[in-house]
This record gives sequence, structure tokens and C-alpha cells, in this order.
Amino acid sequence: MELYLHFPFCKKKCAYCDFTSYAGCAEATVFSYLTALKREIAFAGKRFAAERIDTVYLGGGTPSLMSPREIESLFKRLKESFPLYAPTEVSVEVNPESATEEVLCAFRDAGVNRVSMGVQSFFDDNLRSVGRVHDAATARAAARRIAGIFDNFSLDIIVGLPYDTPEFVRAETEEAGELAPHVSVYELTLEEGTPLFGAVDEGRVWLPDDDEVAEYMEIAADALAGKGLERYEVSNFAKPGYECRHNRGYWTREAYVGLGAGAHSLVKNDAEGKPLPAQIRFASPKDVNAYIAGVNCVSGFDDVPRAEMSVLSEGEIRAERIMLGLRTREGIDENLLAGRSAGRAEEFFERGEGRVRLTERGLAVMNSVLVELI
Amino acid sequence: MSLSHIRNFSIIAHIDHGKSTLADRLIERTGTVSSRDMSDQLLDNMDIEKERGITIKLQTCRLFYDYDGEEYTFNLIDTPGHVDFTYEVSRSLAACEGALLVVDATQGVEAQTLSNVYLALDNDLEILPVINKIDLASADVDGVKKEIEDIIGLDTTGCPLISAKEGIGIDDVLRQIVEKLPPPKGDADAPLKALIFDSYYDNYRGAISMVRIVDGRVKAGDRIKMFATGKTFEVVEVGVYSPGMRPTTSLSAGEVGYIAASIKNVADTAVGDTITLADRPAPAPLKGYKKVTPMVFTGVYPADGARYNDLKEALLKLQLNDASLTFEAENSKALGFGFRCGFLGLLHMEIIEERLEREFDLDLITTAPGVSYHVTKTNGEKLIIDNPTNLPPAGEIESIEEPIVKATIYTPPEYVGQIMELCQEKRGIFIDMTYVDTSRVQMTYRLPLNEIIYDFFDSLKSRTRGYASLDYEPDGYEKSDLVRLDMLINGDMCDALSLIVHKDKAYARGRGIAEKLKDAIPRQLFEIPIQAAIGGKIIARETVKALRKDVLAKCYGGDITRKKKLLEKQKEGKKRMRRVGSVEVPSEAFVSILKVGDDK
Repeated sequence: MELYLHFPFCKKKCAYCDFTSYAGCAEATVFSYLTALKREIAFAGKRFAAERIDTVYLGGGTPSLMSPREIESLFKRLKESFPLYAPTEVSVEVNPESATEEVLCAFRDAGVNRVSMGVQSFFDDNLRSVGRVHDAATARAAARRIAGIFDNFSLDIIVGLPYDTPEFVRAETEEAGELAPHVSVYELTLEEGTPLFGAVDEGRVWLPDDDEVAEYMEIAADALAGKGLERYEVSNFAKPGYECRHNRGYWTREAYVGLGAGAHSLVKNDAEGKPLPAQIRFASPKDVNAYIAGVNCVSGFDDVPRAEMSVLSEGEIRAERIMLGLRTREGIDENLLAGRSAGRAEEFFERGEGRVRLTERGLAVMNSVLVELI
Repeated sequence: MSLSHIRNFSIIAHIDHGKSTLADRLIERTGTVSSRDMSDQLLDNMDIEKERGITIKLQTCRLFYDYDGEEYTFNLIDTPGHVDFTYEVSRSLAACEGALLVVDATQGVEAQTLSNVYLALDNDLEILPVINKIDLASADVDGVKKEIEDIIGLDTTGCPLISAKEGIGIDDVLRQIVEKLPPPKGDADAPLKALIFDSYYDNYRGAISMVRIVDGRVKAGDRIKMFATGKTFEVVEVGVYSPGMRPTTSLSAGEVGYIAASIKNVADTAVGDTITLADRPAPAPLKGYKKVTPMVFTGVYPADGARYNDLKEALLKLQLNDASLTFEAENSKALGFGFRCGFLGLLHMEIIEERLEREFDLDLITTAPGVSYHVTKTNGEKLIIDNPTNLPPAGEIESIEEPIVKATIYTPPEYVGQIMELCQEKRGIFIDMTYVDTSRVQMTYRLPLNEIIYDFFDSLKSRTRGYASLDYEPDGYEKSDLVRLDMLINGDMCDALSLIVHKDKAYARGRGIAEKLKDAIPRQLFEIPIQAAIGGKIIARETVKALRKDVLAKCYGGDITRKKKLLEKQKEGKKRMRRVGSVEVPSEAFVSILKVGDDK
């Protein structure tokens, strides 16, 4: 089973972000949150005592804002709580300005063996335009610092930012591929309610259009391939052996438990490790205070209040397998489609050896293809 | 009740000249409705009527007026003011002896003022001019008086000068109704003759006939006979409107009111028919009305195909109260099952569509409005075509005739040039132009109805800053060089987008529609060519480029639910689209092409 932990605090919220993260919170809130998170970890350790923990992922927010003491204490709680704690991969997300030597070493000492840093762009105008705290020089320095401590690390790049050009996207993805054995390239998603959405809506910021962004993605894939990083999922590129195991688990539908505000879980087994009558997905409340209160008022994992909960039918599981599996280089088992054809959309598929995968062009328009299929 | 103490009258006016406001004041001043219960424009029952400030359905109301100690009964029959509803005006006028002609002191005589006066004169009505809005700074009472005398030929000496809004001069109007308008004639002891001037369906009482009793009398329990069908019914209730329904013991010669007789089918109370008594019938019916024929046709489809039956029910219900609405089932490849509906004009169409959406909670897709064409085939066969899809191939057509109208336009002289230009663009033929006075010109043109229903009225208003008024009447059919314009989406003809247009306009229309469609159809997995064609010939082409990016970049921390919801939403959106061949076309696309030409 996989574990996800969420640290929902940032120094400053980025203009495009609509994820569960809060900026400018009081120390006391962070303290209470970590206390509650550790309480939930202890609950989960009992509930999932039968499960071997294969991967851990600490995401955010900005987990690198945690102090070395907090880091140590959090991971200590993990090891104490899960009887079968034997992860082969422990990842954390960091941001350039807070990925200090001290913090990185604290993570390493706590058992972390993979770091993912949100660079987003190696172009200061882009970074400023979406409200990132760091500049390109800080990001480069941090990447080198990480490389000195960790063998396995990843850099995140966003394409579709206001100042992107084809030349620039090529240059920055080449640089990322040069620095790291793993790179994630995300197309900027304009989410309603974010400051960036408002700015674009009012015409204060102009973003590249969909066709340009599609082209940037192709450029990025090409540039990274040139550096030996192969695309193994819609947004993820790695040198052989550096693929992120934790994220792969999402796409292959491994069971996972998400702990912390807004975290999601997919649970398949009961406390004895026997399969439940049906698989369930659920998520904790996004609101930090609601999460804290919820965890503090109960005494076991199954009683923690959840904001979303769904019991999956066979049909839903099949649809999930298709929708998630097609994101990956491996694709899906042909039998999942039960002989169904996507009609004209077939040309976005490659079939062979009993498997179906999306072509590069197919990956770019995956949602439309899925709608034809599911 | 003595006939000499009854006055039956209508109020006629150009739209916006204050007809409904005057009706309100008369009702209020005679104490028929206390001012506590007054809501503006009492006789306009429908929400749409109140919102748009127009009267659509005619309404009646009985008022009592004390004239020098003697009580008079007034039957006021409100009339619609829009050109589409001329037939309703003529119906209500047939039930009256007199009419108040309301003219706006700031506007003067307008196109419909005149057409309504002609209708009143056709019915031998005594006309009492009333000049309204005298309180406004721009009122020109003397000028308007002169216009009424010069153009219409009515004496305006001593005519009421009023402000219906401010309640000025209302008593004068009431007195002059008694003094100037004639009482009804008729013999209460003769066999019953009651003219049905309107009918509607009441959920509790069945079909209700609104009648003017010409001769005789009728009461609950009487057995009545309809001249048109010969069917007989037992009267359950008779009464008057004041303005709500109020039962009375009987209705007799000269009176206006309603008859309820548990009639299930509105068709049995045909407007224009005469009601008599079954056991003492009148020898002959009254002169009826000319049956109105729809002039504008459009395909009406439910946006959600599953609601076809709801749409059918709704149309049936509306038709119960609106005999001028016609519809028949039709089937479109793109839009599925729907109805080809016939309307009196564009306003009538808009109102029916709005009522369907509001009162019946339906989402509609309507095709471009068209008219009815007379087609002669090369083999001599004659066809009437009101749906472009049914037009035979060009090779089989000997000739096509299109409906023509005679349009009367009133305008200040400075816009004459623009109007001539507009009429020329719209294939109009100049008939006549006269200066009514120094500030007003009356222009007469013959125009194809097809052009009028396209965007003529909006263009006229925008080119004359709203000053010109328009009225038109059918003026026969004429041969014309018409073609069918088809739209092809990814090579497949979309029947719901076909139009019949004049050959000279086809290129511009085709281009315009193709451009609109290109914007309205979302990009899909494949490139979509959009073509306009006449016969087999392509006259315009646009392309919707293939989609290049549609993927959720990141699954945040295993949040699969969010991704599933997005796909679900995308799938829902797809369901609401119409398929033309392999292409998904959103409902809005069909509507947006109706607006071609708006943005020039």
C-alpha cells in the first residue's frame, strides 16, 4: 500500500493554484495541524496494520517549510505507527527558496530518498508573472544542492506561462533534463476562482492559446528525449529506472491512504487485510481547521470525518482502469475495452501485444478520446 | 338593462401610445377595481405582456359609470397594438359600436394608428380621438390635432386631452364615451345571435366563449347551438368580466360577456362563429371573420429530444387560447422530432417561443424563420412549401412565388434616404411617398415578406434611431429568383440549417452562416469543414481546426474523483449536442445563425 501525506502550507499562494494550500498561517495553526496529522497517522497505523507500506509521498503546499525537528518527528511517527513500514521510495516536494542544505539533510536523515522540486520555469518574467517566490538563479542553485544529496530527484516545469515561447520552452526543458533524472512537465491549467483566472478574464494577462501550449508540450517531450528522459506518463519524463513509483501506483490503481487536509484515499482491504465487499475512495476536508477538529474528536481511522466518499462499482473500476492506464506508456490491457472501438478516434491508439496505448497526439487530446470510449 | 345605457368600445392605438394605461385609468376611475388592487396594466394578464408593455390577447372589462345621476354600463374591449395582431383587433372591433383612438401627443399619427383606424371604419365604428401624454414637455397638441384631421379626417374639436399616466382628463373621456359613442342596437326578444369574438380554455370550466350578444338573450340552463358545427351544449354559466369573471343571471342584446357550457374542445367555439338557442334558432348566422393564415414558419425542437411529448402538450395548450398558432410534426436529421409552427409574424413567434420556455419550462432550438412559397414544378404540379427541406431539386422547379407585403412606413423626413436604401437592399419596390406635414413622411413599398422577417424591423429602427414606424399587410405572391441554401458540416448536409433565399443574397448569407458556425462549433478531434452550397455548388467554406490539447495535466495527490467528474461533465455536454454526421454541434449553433447580419 502507498501512503500520501499532505502539508497544506505555503509562504505565498501562486496565482494559478487552486489546490489545498494556505499562505500566511500562524505558527500555532501549523503546529496544531502537524499534531492532528500525527494523530491520524497513528489511527491509520492501526487500521492498516496488515498492509506493507511500499511508498511514501509528502506533498504540499510546501513541505520544505517544515523545520528539521518537525520533519524528524513526522517520519518517526510513521515508522512507529505502521508495523510493516518498508518503503522503497520516500518522496517529498520542495520549493527552491526553502530547499536549504539543513532541510534537505533533515529529510535525508528521516529516510527520504527522492525529492521533487517545483521550479515551474527558468525564466524570471514567468516566475514573477504567476507569483512564484523564487527566481531562476535560486532554482538552479537549489537543483545543484539537491543533486549533491540525492541521486533521485525531479524538477517540475509548467508550460503555457505568459512569457513562454517555443525557443524558451526548449531551452528550459533541456536545462531541466540536464540537471535531473526525472522531469514533470505540466500544461498550465487555468482554474476558475484563482487570481490568474481573474487576471486573464479581465485581459490583464495573456496566456498562450491551446494550440501553442500543445506545441510547447511537443517541444518539451522532444527536448527531454534528447537528454535521455523518456515520457512514461502524460506529464512525466524519466531516465530508465527513475520513474516515480508512488505516482505510478495511482495510474495502476494500487491501494493508497492519504493523510492530512484534502488528501485522497483508495482503500481495498479491511483491517485484517481481507478485501472489502467494494473498493472505496474518500477524501478529508480541505479546510485545515475542519480537518484538525475532525481528527481530534474521534479515536479511530474509520471515524475521521470525510468530505467525499464513494463506493466503486465494477463499471467504475473498469472506467478508472482505462482512464488512468491510458495516461501511461504501458497503456491498458486490450481486454478492458471488451472489443469496443473508439471509431474515428482509433487513430490515436497504438495496439500491440495485447495492449492499447495512446500515441503522442492521442495523449494531448486524451479527454476527448476517453469520452468516445467510456 | 336599457340599450341606451350601454356603450361597447375598444381602445385602438399605435404600440406604446398609452392604450393599456388609459384602460387602467378608466377601470380605476369608475371604481371597478379599487386603487389598492390596481397593478399596472390590469388587462395585460400575461407576465410577458406586463414586461414588454404590450397587449397580446384581447381582454374585456365591464365598467359602471354614473353620468349625471344615471348609471351607464361600459364594455371595454382592449386590443393588441402590434402589427402581428391586426386580426385580433378586427375581431374585437366587430363587437363594438365605438372606439377610442389614442394618439401620443409627442409622436403623432403612426403606421398602426392608421391601419387600426381603417379597421374601425370597416366596422362602421364611431371614432373618438383622444390625445395622450399632454403632460410631457415635447407634447405638440395642436400639431397632433392637425395630423389627425389631415391624415385621418377626424374632427378633433373638443376631443379629450389627457395624460393617462397622471390621471389628467379621464373624466372628460368617460363623459364623451356617453355623449359621442352610439349605444348598441338589437332586439332582446328576437332569437339569440351571439358573436364569438374570442375563446380560450379554462382548466375548470372548459372552453369559454367571449361573446357579444347581438340579438336575444342567454342564461344558465339554456341549450345553445353552434352555427359552424351544429353541435349543442347546455350553458353552465354566463357572466361578465370586471375584470375578473363574474357570473350574471343572463346576457342580453347589446351586452358583452362570456358563456361557459362545459365545452371540451376549443375548436367547438370557433372565433367568428355565431351562437344561437337550440330550440329557438336564429334563421342565419352573423357575418364571421376571415380566417387568419400564418405568415411566418419555423421549426421548433426540444433541446432535450426526450421532451418531445412535453413540447407537443405545450403547443396544444397554447393553441387552445391562440387559434392563429398552427403546428405539425416534422422530423429533422439533425434535430430529431419537433414541429413546424406557423405564426402571424415575428413578434407572435417570439412570444410563443418565450411562453413555451417560461410557462412550460422547455429549452427550445428553433430554425431560421421562413415564409410559405408557392412552387410550380416542371410537370405542372403545384406545391406549397413552408419548410426549405421540402423544396424540390432545382431541375424540377418551373417557378417559385414568394409572398409580398405592402409596407407603410412613417418617418421624420431626415431618414427618408436611409429608408430608401434599406428598402432597396431588401428588394423593395417603391410605390408612393407623401409628406404628411413638415415633420413626417409616409412611404409605401412593396417588399418580399421573406426580407421583412429577416432583419428588416431591427434595421429600420437602428437606421432611424427608433423614429420610423412600420405596418404591413399581405399583398399577394410574386415570381422570384429563389434558391435553397444548404449548409454542409464535414460533408453532411444539415437539414435544420437550410434556407430559401434570393439568388443575389445567397453568397453573403452562406458566408455569414459559415463564419457563425465556425465560431459556434467547438473544436473536436478532427478538422471539420463547413460549407455553404446551392445545389451541388459550394459557395463558401470555413474550417474548424482539429483539437490539439484536451488533457488533465495533473492528478493531484491521487484525486481521481475530480478527474472523473470532469470527464462526466464533458460527456454530459456532449449529450446535449446534436450530431450532424460524425460532428457534434451544440444547440447554440442553430440559434446563432439566426443572428447573422446583426453585427454589421
